[in-house]
Amino acid sequence: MNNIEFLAGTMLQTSTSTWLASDTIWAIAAYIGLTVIFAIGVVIVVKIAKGIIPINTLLEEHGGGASMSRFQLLVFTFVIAFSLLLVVVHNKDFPKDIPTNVLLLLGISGSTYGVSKGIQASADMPRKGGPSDGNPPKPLGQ
Amino acid sequence: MASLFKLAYWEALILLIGLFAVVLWKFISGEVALDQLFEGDIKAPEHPDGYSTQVSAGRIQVFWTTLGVAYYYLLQVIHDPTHLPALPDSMVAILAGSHALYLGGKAQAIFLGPLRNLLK
Repeated sequence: MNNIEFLAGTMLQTSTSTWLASDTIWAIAAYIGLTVIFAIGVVIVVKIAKGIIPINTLLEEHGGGASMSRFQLLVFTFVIAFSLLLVVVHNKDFPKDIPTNVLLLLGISGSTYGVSKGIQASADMPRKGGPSDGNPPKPLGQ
Repeated sequence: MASLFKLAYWEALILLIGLFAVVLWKFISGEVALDQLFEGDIKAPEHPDGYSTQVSAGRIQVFWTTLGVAYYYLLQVIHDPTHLPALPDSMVAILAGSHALYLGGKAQAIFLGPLRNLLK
């Protein structure tokens, strides 16, 4: 009888310590993952701030000048990202479902940008700052 | 577990607000140019490039519709952050109509020229 009790006690202790060990490893991996993702994010934001990653043409359209379709896409992206963050922070969980109208809103916004780019591309408009302005041509994406 | 969640929360908040602040600062300082945001290209055969630039009513209405919908949605989330709120169907329809008007106007201006020339 004593042997059975000893065996059961040993098994319980072993399984508990294994569970604790796996839990600790999971927590350490999660902390490392979070730190790495944060570090990558910080590096990107700092490089954007310093101008090493240039975003000065973020809203520029092919013909020159700011693009309204890019602007509205940027606004909706920030709004939905911020809303998602608020909901996740409040519930400590991701939302169970995303309303169809919100997906529709993002779809409208994204497709407006796509169609607008298509119109610009098919019109084959000269870039402002190009030879017709008497200025040297501006490289694409600058 | 709670501290892990708190860390993730602060990291996400810092990154999102940091990115937002950097983009906003670049808008304010003029590094990301908002020039000609309300101006659209229009077909003009008399111009050397074949196109000229004019203030576009379509762009102005898209701008205000976008800001209105974004503001409404943010207010809804701030008031009740338990779930992602659904937008009313009417608001989605207004947004879709506004964007369709903008794209239609842009296509017409670029491919066909000013509306007044078409109506002549």
